[in-house]
Amino acid sequence: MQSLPIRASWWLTAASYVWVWGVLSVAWPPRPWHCLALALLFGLAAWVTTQRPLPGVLLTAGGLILLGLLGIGPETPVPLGPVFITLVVVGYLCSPRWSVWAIPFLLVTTAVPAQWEIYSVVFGGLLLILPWWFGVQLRLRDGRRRQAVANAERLSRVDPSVRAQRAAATEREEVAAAAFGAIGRSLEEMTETATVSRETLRLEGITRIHDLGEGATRRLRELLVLLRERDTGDEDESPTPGTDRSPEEAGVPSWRRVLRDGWPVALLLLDVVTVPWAVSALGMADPPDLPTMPFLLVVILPLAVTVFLRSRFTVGALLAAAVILLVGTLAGIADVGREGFWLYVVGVALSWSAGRAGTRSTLLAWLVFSVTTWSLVWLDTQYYLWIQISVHVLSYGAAAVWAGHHAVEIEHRTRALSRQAEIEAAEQAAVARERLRLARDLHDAASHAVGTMMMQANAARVLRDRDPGAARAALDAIADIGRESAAELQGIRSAAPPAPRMLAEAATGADGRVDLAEAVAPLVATARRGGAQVSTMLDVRTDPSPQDVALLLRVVREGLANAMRHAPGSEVTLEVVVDATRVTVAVGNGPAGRVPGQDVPVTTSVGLGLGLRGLRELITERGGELATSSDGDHHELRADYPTSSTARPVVLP
Amino acid sequence: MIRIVLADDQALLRAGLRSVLSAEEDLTVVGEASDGAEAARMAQVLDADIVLMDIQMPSVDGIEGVRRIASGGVRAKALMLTMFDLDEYLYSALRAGASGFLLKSAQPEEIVRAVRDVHEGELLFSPTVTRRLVEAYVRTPPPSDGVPPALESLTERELDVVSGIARGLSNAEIGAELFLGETTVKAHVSHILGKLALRDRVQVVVLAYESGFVGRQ
Repeated sequence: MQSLPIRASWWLTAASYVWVWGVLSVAWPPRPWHCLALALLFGLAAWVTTQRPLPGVLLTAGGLILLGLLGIGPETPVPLGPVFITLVVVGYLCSPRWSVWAIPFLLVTTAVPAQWEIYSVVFGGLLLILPWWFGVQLRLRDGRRRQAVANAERLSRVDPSVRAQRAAATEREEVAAAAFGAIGRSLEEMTETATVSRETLRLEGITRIHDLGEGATRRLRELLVLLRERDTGDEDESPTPGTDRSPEEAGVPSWRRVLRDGWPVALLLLDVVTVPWAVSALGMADPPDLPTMPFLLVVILPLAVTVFLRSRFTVGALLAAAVILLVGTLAGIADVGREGFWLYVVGVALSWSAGRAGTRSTLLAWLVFSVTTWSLVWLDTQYYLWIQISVHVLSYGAAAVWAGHHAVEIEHRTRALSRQAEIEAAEQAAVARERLRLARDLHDAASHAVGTMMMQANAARVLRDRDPGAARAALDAIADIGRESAAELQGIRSAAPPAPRMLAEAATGADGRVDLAEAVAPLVATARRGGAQVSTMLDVRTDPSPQDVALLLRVVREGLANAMRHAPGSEVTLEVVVDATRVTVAVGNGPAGRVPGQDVPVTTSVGLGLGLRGLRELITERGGELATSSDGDHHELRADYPTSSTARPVVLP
Repeated sequence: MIRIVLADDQALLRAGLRSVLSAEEDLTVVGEASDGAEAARMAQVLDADIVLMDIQMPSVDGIEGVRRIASGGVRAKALMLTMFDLDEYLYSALRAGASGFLLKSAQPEEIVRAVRDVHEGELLFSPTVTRRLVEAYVRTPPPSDGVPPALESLTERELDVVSGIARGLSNAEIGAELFLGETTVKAHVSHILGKLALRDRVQVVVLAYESGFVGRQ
């Protein structure tokens, strides 16, 4: 159970005091001290209720019993004020399951000592539901407001870029796994088949390589289509934050709206028409007067209309009601001021709508309406003036508070929604970017390799009869490429470094020149992870261009891969010299060392030297040289080529 | 003797292609390039008939290479090499002036036939593929009734032939439809190419769709 803020407590205490004092001093003029005492008592009861509901209710009940014993009966509305205030506060502070019991409790403590009649009891009971219900609604609304604020708070602390990164990483994992599944197996098989068919040059083997390649290509194509489709298809509209009225109004069905607009009309008619008629029909004692026809037609019916239309035409309704009351009073038809419950219904309903709207024009219209009503009441009898003032002002104030809560709730909800949209947009953008990058990576890493392998298979097929040596070379090339691209695919999948071209791109600064150390680092790191003890010597006299670096990285990668394959755990030296005209790369390794977790050094005759083929082609084409040398346990891979700024001659047949 | 230039940044792919093409007596590879600029230069210097051009190459790519060939008055025809027929750059290559495309995953026989076909000026691949490709990427205004300005200079007969080409029909099929002999159709085709300053049938298909003369299905 919470308690109300201090300011609200003071207001309610004052309201309770003023009400009791105001009403009693009019009804009980000869006993001013009793009035004061009772007013103070109820003021105190209101205060206590706002801080501790249960004791407050008991205190209020005590006060009500006292009133009853003093003979202040149902003809005065004295108990109404404090009871209303108590019920609203209790309904707001306590869970509805408990607070609802306050209604019968307070009713009993009011009615029994004052000896109310059944009619009053029933009517009073029904009436008391209203403030309790209002309190409960405020409670619910407050809960929603708090939640909206908390939600907005939480979301504002979420960093969209972190979420975006995570989403992109997940996407990468998923897609890479899919790609690997799609073609990894094929690449392996193609490599195997090429190796096996090398000696025999059997036709079935060679055609099988091509067939495997076709399968892989088909699956890759499907994957790319999927990636692209998802990329362009994911254009969700970000949720537009709702405007002030729409989230609430949009979902309200029309029958509910009619109910909401119409319930005061129902009450109105109930008080003026139904109940008196029912009572007189049942022949009970002291029936209220039946309404006259002019009263019904000139006052009640038009008022019913204004009340029904109060949401849509607030200003109009308020002014029209003022006019109707004025006309009715001047014509002597209506008794504005007697115990007309209908007047309260009209006052509450219209004041609530005015408070809800909260604009300047509605405020002015409401003042016109209220002042008119109060003046008419005062002219008739002073007795009810305080009550009327309180009823109008409290309704207006309560509605303003209600609307204020709502506005805060909506504002925070809007903020939360737009923040959510922001986060989602960042995630989607990151995922989309990642997908495009993945599509390109896949394209680069896998598809070109497969295509080249298939073309080499073609060459092998064409050449196997005429030039078996060349056919064998082709099959060797297929095996090389297969291994290399399988490794690249693995690289896409795990955190291993990507293809050399991408490494070079990544290390390229804004000025287009490449930071060599940064470019080489991932490869060295991978080698070190694999157990090699790598030491690097980079002698960079001029900044190399990205193309030079890409080729350099290929050499480094090949050298490191060889070293790891033939002599795992060995000492590896990497030397790079870059000057204006030439690039020299040397990767050397010593004998195999101990690598934790590996039993036997991995050396296969098939693996020796075959990865160099494609590399040699590349370098020769650049006008450079690639050489391998071994000296007992020591092996070295050395490449030497001119920088890309040096002109290359056109190759003529 | 058909003189061929190979352009691809992957040396091994070029080597494989070279092996496949060299096995044929009427085909000879006169040069190899690794980017679009070099390919265009070689095609001119070496007086090539056909350039087999990869689309994605570093520095100057295949599309730019085709553009240079087409605009530079080089007579070589460009055949694009691609892994996938849904390559989004393929259409740009066609518009730039390429005469067709060839999948890198093709069999040797297909490769050789493609080179010969494009040299003859025949439409290279199935009508469905062309149409699908063009439809996927062309941003056509809805088909106008009447003749679009781009095709104004053609006679009615020639327009019928254009319609046939756009639907992917061969010369024989067009002849059957219009009750003309195959040679007559061939003559119409050369007139059309001449009037519209187009290199080959593929360009006719592209123009037919782009101008709105033929609508999407």
